[in-house]
Amino acid sequence: MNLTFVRKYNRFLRKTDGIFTHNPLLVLGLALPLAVIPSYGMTAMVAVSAAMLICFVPTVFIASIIGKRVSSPWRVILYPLISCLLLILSRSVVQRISVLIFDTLGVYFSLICVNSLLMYSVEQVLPKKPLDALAFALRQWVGASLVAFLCAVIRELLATGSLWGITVLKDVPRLPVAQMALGGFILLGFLAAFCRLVHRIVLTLTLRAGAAQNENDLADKERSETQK
Amino acid sequence: MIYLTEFFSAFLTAVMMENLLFTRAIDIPNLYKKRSFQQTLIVGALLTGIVTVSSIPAYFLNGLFKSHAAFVPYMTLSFLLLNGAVFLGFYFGIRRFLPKLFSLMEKFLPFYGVNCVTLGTLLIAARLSSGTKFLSFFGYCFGSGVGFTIALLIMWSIRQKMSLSHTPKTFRGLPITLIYLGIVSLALFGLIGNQLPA
Repeated sequence: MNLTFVRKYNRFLRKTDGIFTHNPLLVLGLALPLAVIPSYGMTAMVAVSAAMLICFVPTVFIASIIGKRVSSPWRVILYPLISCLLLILSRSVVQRISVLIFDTLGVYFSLICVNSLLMYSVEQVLPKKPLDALAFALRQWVGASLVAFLCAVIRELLATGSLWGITVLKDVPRLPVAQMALGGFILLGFLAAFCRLVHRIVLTLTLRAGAAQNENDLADKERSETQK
Repeated sequence: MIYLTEFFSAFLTAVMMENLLFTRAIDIPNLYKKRSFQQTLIVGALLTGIVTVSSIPAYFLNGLFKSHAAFVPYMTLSFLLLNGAVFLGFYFGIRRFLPKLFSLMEKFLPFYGVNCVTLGTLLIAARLSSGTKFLSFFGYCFGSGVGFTIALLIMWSIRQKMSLSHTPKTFRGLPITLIYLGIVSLALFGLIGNQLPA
């Protein structure tokens, strides 16, 4: 592996922090209720992602503006309240995705305003500038949504053989357990392990590339010295 | 006797069959953080206390929402305000009367006050209750807190056992914990079947 590629890979990881590195679902294990239960199907996941965009991103942005002006116990109530008000506004948007969406999601729609990703993010952005905080919130949202979508696609395909209600796999045995909570837990666990494995392989290759480059540099030095 | 049966059936349902973590995947911030046995018990007791105290006014609020369907979208907001008020009561109460405990918990106490467990329990109990039985509402909320404490203790014991066993490097930490949660969840779904009211 070329060192230039390694540098590019590291730069890519830095830029996508929250999406591919430090993913809130796969690395930090946050927003578990939203990642495990509504991700049984794509419709529910789109609704949750849309509501998260409306509630989560603005709340984190507001948190960075307010900063430490509000003391700790009051902060814990203030931000879920802001998020909850935005959640009420988001109901009309979410209802357009499916008429029965609130019956499908149940309490999980309401839990968007107190999910652990929000509680983690509002504390993380306290020392950040508002624009940096906005970028941070967007990256966290994209990272969480990406993984949850992947889970939703796999689980819906395994359980019903369809995507967004359209049958894709016809004569394949169904696995209804994939749509249950335990299917979500196990799939997330394996996804987290797979991502870690890929990262470890790239890191190993990086170290080898670095060692090879050092050996080449030393050999070049010795050659130039013997020529002199 | 009828009241006791009502209370205990709701309590046992919440503890075992509808456990917040294993069957509903409802978590708290810092769920995977390493804690000692004592810290786990303190966190569990705090969550149980907040949920149980909140359940009393929440029951009457729920009755109000059941009779005025137009206000249902604001149920989450009102339960959140209630939960916040109870948490503040606990926060300042512990600071005033139990300063030693407060100094131990000061950093993480706010995270366990308002979260998915406290709000989620009230919302689930409100959906499940018929609106007339106070003891079943109260029993469900109390049972949810106790059930979540048991789940935290199970997670603590998982961590203890995992540290003594050989786990592949890629599975260490979060992945193996999630898979373990899935297996425990499978055991509980064996009891209740595959349907849960949302």
